Amino acid sequence: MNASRSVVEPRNPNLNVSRSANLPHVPGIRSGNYIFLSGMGPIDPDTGERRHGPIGEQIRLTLSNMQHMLESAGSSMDRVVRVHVVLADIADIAEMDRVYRDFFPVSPPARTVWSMQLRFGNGCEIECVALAGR
Amino acid sequence: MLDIIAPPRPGLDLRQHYGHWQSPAVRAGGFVFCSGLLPIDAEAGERRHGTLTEEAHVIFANLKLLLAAAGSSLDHLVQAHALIYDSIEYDVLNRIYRQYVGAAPPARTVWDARSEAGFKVQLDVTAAAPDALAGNAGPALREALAPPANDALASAAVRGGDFVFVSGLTAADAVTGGPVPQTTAEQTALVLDHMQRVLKEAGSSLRQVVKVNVLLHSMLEAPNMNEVYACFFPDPPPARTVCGARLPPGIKVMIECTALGATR
Repeated sequence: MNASRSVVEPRNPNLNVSRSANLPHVPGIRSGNYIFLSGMGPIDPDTGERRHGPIGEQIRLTLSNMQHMLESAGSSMDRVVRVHVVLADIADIAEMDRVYRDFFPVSPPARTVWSMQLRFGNGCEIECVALAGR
Repeated sequence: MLDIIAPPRPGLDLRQHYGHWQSPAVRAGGFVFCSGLLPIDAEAGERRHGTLTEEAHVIFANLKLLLAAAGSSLDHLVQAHALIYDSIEYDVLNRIYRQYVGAAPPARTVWDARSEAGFKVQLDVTAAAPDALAGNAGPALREALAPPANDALASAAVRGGDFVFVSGLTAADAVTGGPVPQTTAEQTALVLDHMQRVLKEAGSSLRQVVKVNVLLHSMLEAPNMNEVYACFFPDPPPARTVCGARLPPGIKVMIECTALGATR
């Protein structure tokens, strides 16, 4: 089970941002028992374009894309062990939390939140580690 | 299996006190993943704002409690991210940090970031869970590898379970003492070349990297970093997150990674 390293691809190709923007990373890697997802921003699943609405909407969009990514890899949101939420503005933490809890209704994963400079004017960037399998 | 670690003290239930939708730590697959540790009073749940020194002491006390509750300890840390409000206090952080990590410290990356409520420091860590890894005969439980890089309080790499955790590396680690080249592209090449050596020493390689975190002094430099970066990694490359951060003077890029260890 160790030494395996396979790529996690979203079923919806619009969410494969690294491929569409020709960036040298993949959406995620499955390795042993774990899935490591790359940092994701608010991408519209219908167009593959960034969508910069209010921060709550950006969080919802990003987390629903993360859910899609995990489910594409045969995992799920309740297998997430640790999340990193990077915000452009730490003042958005309460609004982030309001939306975030809908995605992890019980026993939420470990999480670290901070703010720093993000790409493309995104309001958030979210990455996670999850257990593979169901 | 995925175990939610309950708050070891009533004050550390940030979900109850501050509505933060998170568990204090989750144990899964041989590792303990901790939520960002903040200077919160372990009994009362009050925010303990203070100097960076004071805040860091509270954080480490809380971390000890949390790791004990998860069947781990400070000696089992494999990776630490220290987020400080201003890198001008880097040496102050180190002064406290060295009191808590032993002679074989975890892989570490330090950067400037804003944490909630204006705290000066936040710690994001992963530790090995000895019980869970004990049945896993092959790899070392936790082994600090390679001599410390420029950051004397970090091991360049730490092996834990099936993985190798590599500290945030900069061009200054690659050219110890010498002048550091100026461009982001040149620095990226130096850092990844050095990372390759560190991984090799740890019995791994760039081909086995699963996750990379890149910190750039300016996000406008991302294309320059990407161009060089792409030459070092196999196709398909690893998962990755890129953020902009204030880095030490002259440093344009800092890169850390997690890789699979040696094939057994």
